[in-house]
Order: sequence, then structure tokens, then C-alpha cells
Amino acid sequence: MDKEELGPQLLLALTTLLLVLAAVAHAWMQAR
Amino acid sequence: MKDTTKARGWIVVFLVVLLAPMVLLFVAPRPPGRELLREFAVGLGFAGMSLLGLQFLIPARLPFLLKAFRLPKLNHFHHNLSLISLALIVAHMLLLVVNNPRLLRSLSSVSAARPTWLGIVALAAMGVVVWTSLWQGEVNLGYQPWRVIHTFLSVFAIVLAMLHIFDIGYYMSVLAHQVLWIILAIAWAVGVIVYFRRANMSRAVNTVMGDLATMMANGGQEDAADRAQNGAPNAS
Repeated sequence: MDKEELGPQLLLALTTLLLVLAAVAHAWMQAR
Repeated sequence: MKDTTKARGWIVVFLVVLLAPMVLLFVAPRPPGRELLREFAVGLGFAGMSLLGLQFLIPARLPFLLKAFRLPKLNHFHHNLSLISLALIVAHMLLLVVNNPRLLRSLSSVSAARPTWLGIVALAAMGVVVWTSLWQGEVNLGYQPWRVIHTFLSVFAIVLAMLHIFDIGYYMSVLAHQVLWIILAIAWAVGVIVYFRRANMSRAVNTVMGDLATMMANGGQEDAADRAQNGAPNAS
């Protein structure tokens, strides 16, 4: 993968990670 | 300001807008807690919704975004984000079914809860949007019909998804929730309006029937230059 493609791929990975982490944090705080 | 600095700035804005709907989940007072799996599924649903909203802004050919990034790059990013968004929403639905298998049985009757149906129809619309984009060539869909289907089904899906959330009524109770929802809806609508104006959708709708007829007459052969110029998914 060249440097041009690496940036968008990293941003996609970061996006997914942040969203899933937020979902996990929410579930952890809310779960009975 | 250097172009790379501007691009980085827009990436930060992207991450802030991306996480804004997730903030709704943490604003007090939160509704009563439910099972862990169910709450995780709800979180994934909001995550999918957040991406779905952003999907209207990224390909809207907003001048400042086009200046910082090139159109093919934005379209490619839009394409990849849509797959992540669909995966999150499918996971949302599957985890809810795993958590409560009775949901599946309730779907066999039309009397299933309204939010459930709203969610399922929204997901089906998203599925069609992704399917017609990934396999546009295989389904012999011309560029103009694809664009009209893509735009209208996307708006249809997000409206149903919002109704799905509002109908359930969680995370809508306090003023802060409602204000944030209104701001988000306005931001996403800006994307739709700009896209409509730039894509000249009224002309596209008027010519779509003619295009369908042409497509049927020549076996789905399309003008490749038209696709490439407009950023169709299988333009190359």
C-alpha cells in the first residue's frame, strides 16, 4: 500500500475504532 | 494556510461531527439501563446512524472539501465508510436478535412494533443503495437511474432511521438531546441540499426514464466518461 492510500485507510480504522469504543463505553455504563 | 494543514483541520472536524451523535448516549439523565448486549447493540446503532449522516456531507461536493481533498479521494472514502456503516447497522440488528430471539418471531406478523419495521425498512433501503453501487454494472443499471435511486433511497433510509430512533424515544427526553438532534439533522440536510443543487437532480429525474429506455435498447452500455466525470462507483 503506498503512502497516498495509507492516510484514508488509517482514518477509516480510527473512525471504526472510535465508534465501537463509544458503543462499548455506553454499554458498560448503562448495563444493569 | 497550507493545504495539508487545512486537510488535517477537516479531518478533526470530521471526527467531531462523527462522534456528536454518540455524545447523546452519555448526556444525563440517561434512560434506565438494560442488558449489556442490548445496550451495546444500541451503541452500534447510533454509530451506524452517525456515519450515515456524514455520508450526506462527504460526497456533496462541498467546495471547501473539494479544495482540501480531491473528488476521487472523497468518493472512495464515502464508498468505504458506507460499508462500515452498513456493517455497524447489521451488527446492531443481529445483536438485538441474539439478545432477544423473540424479536424474530414477532417479525412474522405485521403487528410487530412500529420502530422494528422502521428499522428493517431503513436497513433494506441501505442494502439496496450499497448493492446497486457495488454491482452497478452487474445489475445493468445506468448512471442516471443509479444516481436517482442512490440519492432518494439514501434520504428515505436516513429519514426512516431517525423515525426509528424517535419512535423508541430513548435519548430524546431532555432539551440537550433535542437541540443536538436538530443541529445534526440540519447539518445532514445541508449535505443533501448541496448535493441536489450540484448534481442537478431535477434534470436527472426528468431524464431518467429516457436513460432507462436507452439502457434497455443498448443492453446496459453506458457512457464511461460520464461515470468517471461524476464519480460513479465503478467508473474505471
